[in-house]
Amino acid sequence: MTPAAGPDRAPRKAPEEGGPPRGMPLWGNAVAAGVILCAALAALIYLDRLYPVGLGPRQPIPFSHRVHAGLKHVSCFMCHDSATRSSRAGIPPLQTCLLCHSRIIRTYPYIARLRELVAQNQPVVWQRVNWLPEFVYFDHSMHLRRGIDCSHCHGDIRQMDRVAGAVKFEMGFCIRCHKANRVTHDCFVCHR
Amino acid sequence: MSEMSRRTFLWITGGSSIALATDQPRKLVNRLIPKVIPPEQITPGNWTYFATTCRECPAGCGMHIANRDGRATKAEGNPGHPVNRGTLCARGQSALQGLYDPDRITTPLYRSGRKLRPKSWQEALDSIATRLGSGGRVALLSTLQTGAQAEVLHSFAAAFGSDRLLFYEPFDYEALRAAHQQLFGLPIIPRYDLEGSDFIVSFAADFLETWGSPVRQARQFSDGRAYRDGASPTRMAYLGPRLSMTASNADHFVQVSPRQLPVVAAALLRVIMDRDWNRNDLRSVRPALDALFNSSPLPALDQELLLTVARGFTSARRPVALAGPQYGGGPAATDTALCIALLNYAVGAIGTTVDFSRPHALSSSARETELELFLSSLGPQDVLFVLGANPAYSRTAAAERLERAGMVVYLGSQLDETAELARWVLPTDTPLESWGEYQPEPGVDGLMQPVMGRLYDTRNAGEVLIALARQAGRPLRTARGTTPADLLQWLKEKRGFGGGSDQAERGWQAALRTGGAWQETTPPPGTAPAPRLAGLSFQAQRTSGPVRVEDVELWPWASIMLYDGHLANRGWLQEAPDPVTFIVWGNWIDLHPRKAAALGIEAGDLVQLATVAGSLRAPVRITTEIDEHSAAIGLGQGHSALGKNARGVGSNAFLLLDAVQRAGFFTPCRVSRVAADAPRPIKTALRREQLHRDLLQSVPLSVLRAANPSKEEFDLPLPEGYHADRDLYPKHEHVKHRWAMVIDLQRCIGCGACTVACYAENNVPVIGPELVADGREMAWLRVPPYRIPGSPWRYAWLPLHCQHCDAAPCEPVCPVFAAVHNEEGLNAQIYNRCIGTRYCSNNCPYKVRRFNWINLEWRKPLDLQLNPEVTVRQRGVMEKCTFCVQRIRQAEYRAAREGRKLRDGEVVTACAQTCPAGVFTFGDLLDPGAQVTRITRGDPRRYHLLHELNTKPAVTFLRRVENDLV
Repeated sequence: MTPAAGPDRAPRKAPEEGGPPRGMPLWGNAVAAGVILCAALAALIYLDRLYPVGLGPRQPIPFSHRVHAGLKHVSCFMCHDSATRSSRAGIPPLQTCLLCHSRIIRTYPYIARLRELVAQNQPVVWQRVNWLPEFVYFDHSMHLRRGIDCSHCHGDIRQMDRVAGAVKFEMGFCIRCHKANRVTHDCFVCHR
Repeated sequence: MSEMSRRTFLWITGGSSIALATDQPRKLVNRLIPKVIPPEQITPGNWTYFATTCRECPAGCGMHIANRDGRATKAEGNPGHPVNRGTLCARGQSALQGLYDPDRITTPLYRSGRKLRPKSWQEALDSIATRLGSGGRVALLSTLQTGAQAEVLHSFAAAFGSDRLLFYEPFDYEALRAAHQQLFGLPIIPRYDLEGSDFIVSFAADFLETWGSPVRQARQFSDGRAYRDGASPTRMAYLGPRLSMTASNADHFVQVSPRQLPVVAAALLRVIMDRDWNRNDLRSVRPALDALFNSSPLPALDQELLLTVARGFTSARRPVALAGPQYGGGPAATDTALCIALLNYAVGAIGTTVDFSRPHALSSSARETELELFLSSLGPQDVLFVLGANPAYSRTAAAERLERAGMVVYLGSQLDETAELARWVLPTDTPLESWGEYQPEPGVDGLMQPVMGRLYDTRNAGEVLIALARQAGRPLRTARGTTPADLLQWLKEKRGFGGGSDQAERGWQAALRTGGAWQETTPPPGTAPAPRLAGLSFQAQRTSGPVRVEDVELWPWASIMLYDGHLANRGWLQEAPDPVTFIVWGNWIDLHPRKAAALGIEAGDLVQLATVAGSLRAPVRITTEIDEHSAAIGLGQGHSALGKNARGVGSNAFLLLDAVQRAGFFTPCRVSRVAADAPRPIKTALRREQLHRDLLQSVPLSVLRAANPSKEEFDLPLPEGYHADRDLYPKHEHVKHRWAMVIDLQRCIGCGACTVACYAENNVPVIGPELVADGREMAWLRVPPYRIPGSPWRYAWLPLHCQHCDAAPCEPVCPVFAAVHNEEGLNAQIYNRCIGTRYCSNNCPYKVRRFNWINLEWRKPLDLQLNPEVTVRQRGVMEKCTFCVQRIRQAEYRAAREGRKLRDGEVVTACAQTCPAGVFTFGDLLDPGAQVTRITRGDPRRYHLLHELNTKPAVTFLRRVENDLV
């Protein structure tokens, strides 16, 4: 399609003369610096430098597994004590926290909050991180008996401040391990 | 609608694909709430069992309630309890549905006008205490209570100067008590011991269903009946108008109309006396017997049969005669019970199988005359407390008389017909939430404890009374002079664990763990009371048979599932089929074909029954199983209140009853046809004939004794059962276990407890009458009756669930491998893989697979009962029996944690656990020492269902034994 004849076209506006001086304004610099910083931070997070094992959901009391399991070398079974004798690992009751924290950093604000909750007999409502669909029946005790380390499924908890799901719990993950270890492939073991 | 532009289309598709791609994974539960201070006994993910006592009927079986993470999920029998020895009936299994009933009362209610308004407990107690303070006279009507609760009630009545306290039970054994009063001077219900009894004569006593202590009797009967290497099995004769479940288990069934029962009982007695077969002297009752025969002529009876029964009864080692039914009194019923007491005396059963030294707790329930007096005494000055009893439903004309009381205070958990009349409705704990005790007979002292926390703002009925008395300024005193603050304290004091010392507390905890106190072995019966034979007389007047053609005798019978009707709101029991007819959700009128023809009534008609007391309408079932001049109808249905499941289902036969209790055995009753299009009774087994398929096989005792059973083919569900010439698919090698079951048909009595236990264990949904009528019931295990060929009066039951075949027809047809053979021989159904083609169900010759046609919603809080170890299936998924794989896994894991091998008998499926008759044996076929291996490999009675199909089922049936030797 040919364009319409030239004379019909509107005349082009001449470039304006005498505008403000060229160059970036001061706030522009600030924005640019901010963008670069954010990008760097994002890159750190994205490349798993800042949180090498991811960052989980925010919890009502910022309990750090890195501090407890990592720095202080508290055993997993100190708190998740039913893992060896039950299907579930169990979330520790608040009483367990007070085993130590009735003496250690009693006045730290979150510990004070914890003690307050215990005094009121109020539970802490944690955000769930690791979960399985309800048609899957996993048994912690049986896996621990076989010597499977917690970190195999839960990742390196000792580096997690806020626990994140380290592994996507999909059937492939279970089956790969069951294949590698030549253990049962019975559907009825997990599904019933 | 305007056309969508290209831009909008792109916007929507693009937007939705981005939304789908970036959607968060969906979480159903994303909160974790740990305990603040954990209860000692509870481990997350593990079961904790609490021992308590079943209060669904007065038998008082011991229960263990499984508690998981704070909620009760399953009822099982207490293995140490002397009444039920670890088993339970369907009613006991349903106790949890009473606890989680969606129609429970949740808060105190006050009636103003026609409406019930919620109030607080304080308001309720204030109002009632004020009324009591201002001269209200106390009257108490309670369900049967013993022990501490009874003490509280008595003490409450005494504190307010009242002598009106009755324990009301619709099934009060009035006739039996009246007869025992007359003969022995003891108005009690003795303990009937069928242990080792080799001949039982039941006069319309459904002792395997609702009469007496059904779980114990079922166990004792089945033990006696079981095939024990050729020993003579227990024989039973049943004389009554209707073929009940108990009657179809009898060797001899004599159909006798209700009116003729006393005469037939007397005739049996006369046969025995004429031939001098009696062990105790009965000459002095001869004149009374003769008078009875003079007043009512003996009906035409098979004399040979009567003689057989008389000979069997008198020659037995431990004979016993039982007098039923459990409701209704009147002269004819008392005469029957009297004759039966004489029969027991004649053969020396009194003091052996009939033990008067240990009367049943029901002996303290209200007698007819007491009840009449109580009800007619009610007036405007009275404050009537009704505790759990429902006389407005189960007694004609009781409602009007209850309304005469100035204030009715109802304490119970259901908004039933009596609660509808009450001014105050106070919600009480169910038995599973209460402290308490129950003593079904002396020497068996069951404890009750809360098996979980309260669901609602309810209180224990006893505690309400204690609080009320305190508020009214008359604190309740125990017999020891103390004033305990609550029922728990009362209970502890009564049992000698009061005081709070360490030792007392330890003793209390030990008692709670056991579930009560009893002797390990049953003590021998006490001394037999001497009968007063001289001057004995029967009351029966000359009765003429029905004159007009539409006149019949009414025969109301107690339903095994619903008992006296207070269980009618439980979905499991409504959907559990009646054992003989296999009808669910409703009741019906039984009429003899000759009577129906005379009245022009056809199957499918709506029929009316009318007595002096009232009338009802129900669909008719025309059958020879009822006597020609009688009409039978089941009790327990036809509620106008109680809850969603109970309301409007069936008709209430109690309202025909009352006049009966004064007039005679059972009232004359008029039958008439109302309409032609009655709602058909819903059946889940359409036929009871075997059509020559030989599903339910039997073998004569003589053949078994001869010990040369025919060599027949029997293919084990193991590699050795593989035949290259016949089998299409390769054999299955099992490494660790091959689970299998044995079902002893000779033991099965048809009670259906296993069906209900399966519902409870496996989260099987109750889908309601409409869908069941469409053939969509979900029961994984059913126990359909089949007529025994050649006998019109005998049915046998075939417990049928997935056979876990070795060459399963369902497996190869599944396109997605949802039906697969697992490593332990189970035929697995993997729900998350199932796409619902239903090919498997079409190919299953046993028809045991169930398809989820709808997404079923568990009405809250029924969902709390769901077993957390079993997936709740959704729409479009096929399901079936898994051999309780969750129990297998738990046992395996427990064994692995303890570092040992599984023991035989460690895995018990839910059906096997609850069966009072010991029908099921479950175990591992690869374990050479297992009982299931021993029976499957070597029992002469073994057979596979539909063996000709070469499915090689893991369920082995043991044939029934026909006692042809006598």
